[in-house]
Amino acid sequence: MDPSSNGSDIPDDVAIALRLLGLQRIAELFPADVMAAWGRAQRQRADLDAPDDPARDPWPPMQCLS
Amino acid sequence: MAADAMSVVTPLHYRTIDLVLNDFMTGVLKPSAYMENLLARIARHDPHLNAFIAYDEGRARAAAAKADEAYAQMSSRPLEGIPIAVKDVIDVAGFATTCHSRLRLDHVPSHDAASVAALRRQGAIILGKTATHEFAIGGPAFDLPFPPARNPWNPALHPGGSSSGSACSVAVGFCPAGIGTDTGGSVRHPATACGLVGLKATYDAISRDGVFPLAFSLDHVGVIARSVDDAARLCDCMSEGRTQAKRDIGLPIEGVRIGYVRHFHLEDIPATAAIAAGLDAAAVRLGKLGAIVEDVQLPDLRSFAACNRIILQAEAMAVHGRWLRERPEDYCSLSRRGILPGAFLTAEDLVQTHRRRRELIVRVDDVFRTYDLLLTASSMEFPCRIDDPAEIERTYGRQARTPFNVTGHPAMTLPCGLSPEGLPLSLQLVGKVKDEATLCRAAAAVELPFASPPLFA
Repeated sequence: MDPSSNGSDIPDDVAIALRLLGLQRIAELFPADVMAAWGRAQRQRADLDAPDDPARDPWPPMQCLS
Repeated sequence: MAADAMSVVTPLHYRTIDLVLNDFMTGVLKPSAYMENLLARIARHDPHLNAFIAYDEGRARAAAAKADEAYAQMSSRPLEGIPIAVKDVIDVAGFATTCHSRLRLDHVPSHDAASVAALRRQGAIILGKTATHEFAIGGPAFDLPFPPARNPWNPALHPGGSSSGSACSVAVGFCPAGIGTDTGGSVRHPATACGLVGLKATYDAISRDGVFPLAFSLDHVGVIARSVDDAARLCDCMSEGRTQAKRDIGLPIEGVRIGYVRHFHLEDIPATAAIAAGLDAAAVRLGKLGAIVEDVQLPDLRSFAACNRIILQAEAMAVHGRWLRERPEDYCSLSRRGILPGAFLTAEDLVQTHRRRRELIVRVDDVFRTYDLLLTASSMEFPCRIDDPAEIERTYGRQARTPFNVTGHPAMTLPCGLSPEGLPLSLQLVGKVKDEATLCRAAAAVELPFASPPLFA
């Protein structure tokens, strides 16, 4: 896929996600930006360390400061 | 340095608030004369630097004339006649809050943001609105309605962001201080790149009312100034009693325990040699002043960064989702790319990130059981060319500021010398939650006098 070309180069699975999210218009106008954002989201998910205890209550962060 | 001695050697446009107020109080200088000096400087240099999106000479002159009267009548307030630049995501009544975006060109608020109102109540003059990245995320960009601010140390370079115009205006002598917002370091980054002091207080210590949000749980209003004392003064004013940043400045720092987070810049995201050497030299200076400086271990810097990004993008998407669907062409490309990942993250991603965020806060607070302050790098690299998007993309995340947006601890960056190439070096000090006093006390002890950019004497 060439993310700098037109919207038809957006892979099917991403296109389905974009439809579900109501983002067809931005995908048609700016496919390269949408694919860059898609890739960034996948990388960020991979970068996040899993919490030490996945069952732990994720308290609102601000509560820790009070 | 004594105020009188420094007044002799420092040009008017580069004096600190402390010195200017002293001149006003003693009648050596009138606010209107000071304002004329600054307006002339803006007219001369801002066309090349683009610090301001808008400023109003008429309003500035009228406010300065009122300040003249206040001093004449001995009824001046603590910031009477001090001009302040305001990042254009913060409401100032009568000025458009454009957020540097086509989407907001016509949005003119009728009320000041709470932080701006607090400054005005103490007599400050709002000089104008300064350049930012679009919505504090999309930039530096050339496909926006206003050009990006430049770095006064070298106008070919990025001035840091996103409070770029506020930092530029202070560094080049348009005004003695500016305010901005800091979601992943956006006050401290331009302060670092422009050789200034940047301070964000504890999360929520300064009201965000009237500030266009980037990510509400990470956003802080902050100050950019030429000295720690000035930054602390404005912080205390804007927090309206929730901080006491200025209280302990001048007290000795013997026995203050400082944890040096050296692995941030040696292992996690390696810094250039000059930046690492500058930090080590600052650690030695703090030690000579009597502080106890020891290496400490925090989680990997990249773990904080990942946490910051996911929360930022999820919260930003919640703000911008509708506009991105309806008016995507009105954003710059960097904004679309910066915000849209928030649409592709899942609820599970966000919950796991909040769990991780809590763990990171606990880890930092654990270190603060032993230490009063942390010493870290700010940026790992010097600013690159503003017209090199690939290099900006590569370097933008190479920094150690985001951890303290994730945790909410107060943090200050301040200059610690110049590199062999003549660019500002910077360090970061971080305090315990709600302890801006110790943070500013140590920062003031170790700070160097303000150095102005050689191109703009």
